[in-house]
Amino acid sequence: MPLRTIRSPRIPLEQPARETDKASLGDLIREVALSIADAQKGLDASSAEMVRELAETRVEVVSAIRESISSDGSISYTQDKPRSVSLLEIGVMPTFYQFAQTVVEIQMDLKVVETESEKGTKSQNKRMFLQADTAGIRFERKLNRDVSVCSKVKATLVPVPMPLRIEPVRTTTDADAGNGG
Amino acid sequence: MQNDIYKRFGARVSFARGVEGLFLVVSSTGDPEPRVRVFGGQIVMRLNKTKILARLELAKALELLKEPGIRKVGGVHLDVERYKRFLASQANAHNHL
Repeated sequence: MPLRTIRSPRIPLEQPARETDKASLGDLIREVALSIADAQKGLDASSAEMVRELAETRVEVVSAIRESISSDGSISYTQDKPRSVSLLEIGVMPTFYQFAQTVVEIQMDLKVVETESEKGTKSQNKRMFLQADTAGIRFERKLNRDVSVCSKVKATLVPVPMPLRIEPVRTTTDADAGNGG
Repeated sequence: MQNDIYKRFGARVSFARGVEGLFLVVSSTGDPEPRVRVFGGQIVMRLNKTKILARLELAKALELLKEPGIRKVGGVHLDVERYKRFLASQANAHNHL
């Protein structure tokens, strides 16, 4: 039975992929940061969609109910005509979530490597960079059965106020003022 | 049915318990109220035939989202200041009638 995902992954799980034993440290950190940014983007898109849902959902609101007490003590009620308003107008707002803290622990070997030519000689424009290697770590885990050698992700989500910029500004004017009423 | 993929990785997922939140529940097939009640939710406001506002625990809301026929479960809150401004504007409009 296929797993039901809330949203499609960036790289489809069905897509064939080959494990690489090394990567540039910069690329590795960038990929991790992009993954968190992508998750945050998904959360924001979901909340923005909720804004639209709330704006489109209309309810009937009775703005005033008058209570009248007559001289004989009987009480009667009259109410204003119900008015259709959106949930957003009456103050029902979507909850936005934010990654307050994300800790990513990745076990890896770091190597300082430098570029070289096809002949095996150092080129004139030689460049040194850091390379991350996880294959050795994985091998050690397999060989020594050490499960403490693993990667960890710890993410904390907190609700945050709705961004002010997308909140519509409400102004109230007296429509009858110009009619002398 | 709760997705247990995190268990296969030995991960722990925890939610702050005991605090219920307000959620907009939208169904694509009909009245979502029975499903919300199954997940221990309380109906706060019935908006139309397919939408309700309900109080639910976050973990239950996420489970409800996976139910067939449930199109959306989104966290919402009532902005009391905005609600007061709305009531004030209605009172002003009423006084001018």
